[in-house]
Amino acid sequence: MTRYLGELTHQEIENALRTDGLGLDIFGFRCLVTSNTGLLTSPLHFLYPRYPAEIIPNGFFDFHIALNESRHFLGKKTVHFLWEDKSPFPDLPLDQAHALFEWGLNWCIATASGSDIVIHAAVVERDGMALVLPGEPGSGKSTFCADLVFKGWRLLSDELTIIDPKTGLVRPFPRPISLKNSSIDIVAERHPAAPMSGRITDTRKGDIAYIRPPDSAVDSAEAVKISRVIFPKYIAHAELELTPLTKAFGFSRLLENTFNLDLLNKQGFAQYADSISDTDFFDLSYSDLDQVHRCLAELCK
Amino acid sequence: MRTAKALTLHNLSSADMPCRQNVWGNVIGITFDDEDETLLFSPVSGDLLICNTPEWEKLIEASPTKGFESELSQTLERLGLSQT
Repeated sequence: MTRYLGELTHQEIENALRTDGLGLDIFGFRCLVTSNTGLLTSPLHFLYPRYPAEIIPNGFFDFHIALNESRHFLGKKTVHFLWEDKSPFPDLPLDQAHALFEWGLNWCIATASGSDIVIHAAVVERDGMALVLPGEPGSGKSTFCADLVFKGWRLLSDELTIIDPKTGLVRPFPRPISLKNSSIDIVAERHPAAPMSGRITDTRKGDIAYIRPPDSAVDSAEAVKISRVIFPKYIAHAELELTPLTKAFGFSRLLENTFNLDLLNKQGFAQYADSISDTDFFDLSYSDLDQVHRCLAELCK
Repeated sequence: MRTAKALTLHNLSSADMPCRQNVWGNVIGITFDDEDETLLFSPVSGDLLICNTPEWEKLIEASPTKGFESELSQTLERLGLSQT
């Protein structure tokens, strides 16, 4: 029987994870998760309360994910990620089990999302206008995205922009927003009520914390057309600078951030190009998020 | 050098397609409305190149019968065309 994950007790979730698996439906991606770490129940319950879940799994699942405790050769406890006999990540310290779940799920979707185009980019929407934010590590993409979400933009995704090539529209795929290092404090200070998980320290990306997506984002299944693509770059003390790019150059930059480019044939590439043909592309360097909001208000009139 | 492939130049543009697309061997070129640049992409090699439209037309004229998608960048260089 399908219920929302937030309706389940911790004991029900933990029992499912340790036995036949917890079924989790994340906007059409059905995941079956097993784990004997005892460290997934609390973060899943806190971060995914409005996602349909099954404690008696039934039917087809796109991804069978296992995160199990193992032991480092020096005797330290670690966690091992497995998806259908594949393990793309090294074992990590046991207390990083939740981070490994989030990274592993991203990897599964980027690797095996069928015909969808998957871009490494955050995407938010307001007034039917989707704003895509590709970004290298350190660009401030997630901080930028979180701040927009708390200023009223709808979260479609913090990490993976998924385009249906048939319609050219971005499919919503809201999951917890991942914040790293100084971003955690910046967002906590600007938005004290943000529902934030505990901090996971000393990961390979530094310290990490996750923000629960707003209910309104999880409750909306509306796909939207890309209107703007902005390549953000945080530069300390910099004045805001917004530079328009040609579509050809902007699209080439977007392609560099596309995970499954190797799966595109000529027709798929043409469909992808068509989906962004009305899109405007910009480089944005910034240091002040309030300046960014004023700029976007002007840009997205 | 690999076996030459006959170049095919198909104009796929249609009234409802806002961007123009041309296929050249295994390379597809995308030209957006009101822009003087063409983005070239080889699905085989994953190469991406940008040249301006006159350069793109010159490229097609210069090699109407032969081409190697994997050697696109060298071809562009030989013809003195820009690479971004």
